[in-house]
Amino acid sequence: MKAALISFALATGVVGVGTHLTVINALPTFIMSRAFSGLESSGIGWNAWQSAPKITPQTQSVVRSSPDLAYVVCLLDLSNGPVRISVPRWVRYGSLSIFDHTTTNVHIESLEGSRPPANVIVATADQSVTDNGTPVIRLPGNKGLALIRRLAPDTESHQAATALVKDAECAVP
Amino acid sequence: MRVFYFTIAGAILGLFAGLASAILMSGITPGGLDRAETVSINRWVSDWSIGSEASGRYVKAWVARHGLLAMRKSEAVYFIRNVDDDGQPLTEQCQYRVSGGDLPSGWWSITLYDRLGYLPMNADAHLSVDATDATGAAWAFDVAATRPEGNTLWLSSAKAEGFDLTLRLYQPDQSFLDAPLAELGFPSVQRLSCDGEAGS
Repeated sequence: MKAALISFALATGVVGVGTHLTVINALPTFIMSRAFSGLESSGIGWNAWQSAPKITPQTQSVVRSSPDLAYVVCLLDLSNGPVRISVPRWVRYGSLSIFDHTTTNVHIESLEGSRPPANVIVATADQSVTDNGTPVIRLPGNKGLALIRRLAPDTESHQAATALVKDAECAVP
Repeated sequence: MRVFYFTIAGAILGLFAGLASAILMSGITPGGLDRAETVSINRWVSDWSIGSEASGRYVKAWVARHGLLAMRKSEAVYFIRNVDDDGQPLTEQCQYRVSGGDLPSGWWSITLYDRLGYLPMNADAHLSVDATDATGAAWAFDVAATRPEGNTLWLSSAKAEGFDLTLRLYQPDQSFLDAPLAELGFPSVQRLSCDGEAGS
């Protein structure tokens, strides 16, 4: 009986801890994967900027989206090589964020002001990049997400922010 | 044979216990979060490790569930408040007054979300107040399920049931990040009245 109880306790502990850590560690990747799928099914393609509609209760697709901001998204797929990103600045608050497939924010920079566009190259750890002088952001996997936020609380400024998509780049050169 | 059956029973128990504890600690269910760097100011709660590579596995899981695509604190910090000044949960059944002053950032906003973190499904178009709206050293707005009389600055809690308020500080002052607890001007959330009771 004693051996059976010891086996019971060991099995409970090992399987319990293993399951716990597996679920906790996999959750961010699982949720990011679902976010990719959700954005893809809403018409956002890979390696191309796409403006999100003005955030309302009816258009929100991600938790805690801000109705004051204009969002522009590019789903990153590095399978065919590094992706070049170029983003125009904005007269008010704005930022460019890049996230890896585990939800980690690997890069962020301000877009506020009138300087030249923000340029970065996104690559995996083992991809070579020949473009000298442009900052290189390394992702741990092939997939990621670039996100532009621009302060645009009213319809007019939201339209102006959306119009900047034509001057932005998110593509394999 | 007895050992075999006990081992199987232990493994099944471990499977459910591990799954349940992971769900609890990742914040899929309310409570149980092990936040790495909790900062609480006047009942507004944040975590300084959100968005950073240093986030622990539990914070990272929680952020993925509740604040996906959050930025680093140098760019933005997020505070969530789900109780009024008396510690009572915020609910659509009550009307509140949110008041504050200058906040230590380049720009800020306060947005209302339901318990699941989504904008409530109402058509009022009053779900966020920001620094553009609330000008001056002292400002105030109401939170209510219907538009308060004579008050144009308000947040609609219609169809939210239980809700929280998210305060975003964009480009926060470095002095604030260094010593957040020294900040005294965070907004208060005063309960004015609730359905079925006289206003106060």
